[in-house]
Amino acid sequence: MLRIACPHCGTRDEVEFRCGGDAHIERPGSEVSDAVWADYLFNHDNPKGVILERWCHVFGCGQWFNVARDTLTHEIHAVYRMGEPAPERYR
Amino acid sequence: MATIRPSTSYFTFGGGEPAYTSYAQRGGIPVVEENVAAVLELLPAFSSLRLMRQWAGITDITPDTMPIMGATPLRNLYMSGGWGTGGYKAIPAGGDTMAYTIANDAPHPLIKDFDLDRFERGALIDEGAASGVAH
Ligand SMILES: [Zn+2]
Repeated sequence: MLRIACPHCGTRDEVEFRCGGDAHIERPGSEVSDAVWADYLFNHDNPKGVILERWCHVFGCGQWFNVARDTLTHEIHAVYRMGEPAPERYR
Repeated sequence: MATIRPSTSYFTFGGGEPAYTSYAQRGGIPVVEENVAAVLELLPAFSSLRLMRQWAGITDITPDTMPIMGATPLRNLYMSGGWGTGGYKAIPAGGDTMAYTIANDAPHPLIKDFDLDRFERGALIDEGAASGVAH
């Protein structure tokens, strides 16, 4: 069970949250090729180790924020707000 | 969905995965709870049974939960993956159709829609029910 510290509500169980996939990816403009668009939609990092993700506190405040999480140990290294850069060591 | 297989003195059941990327291979309490709840909804009398052990592994799941089968951009390299949601039911047909695809260097009609390029074409396969994923 992940215990995630929502920046607005405090630490709660993972069942209150939804993982929204990769953080810090940029949506390309509408004029790009199908290959670039598909790459944006479907091809993401799949690290065994620290991943930077967006999470939403769906059964709480409903707010999105960023999480640096280890996919092997499930350790949560950092939680930071939307718009904030990732902690330097995880970039 | 839970799959139940009777054995001599115990039942095996399972299904589902955490809704986030994980290589931990230890399962998650919320997933265990979800599975047990599904079994008890179907067979309430099982509430008196004890959980003997649990298994967890890594499942390879594609964006549309359907396998990817067929040719790749590299000549003579074929792909059959993403079976994490339905492999043990569908792989006999998957093996036959992949053998045909490799022998003829052309996709078998049954699997032509399962190609790697479907994501680029926006032709995802909407068959979540067939794969047995939670829905
Ligand atoms: Zn919150």
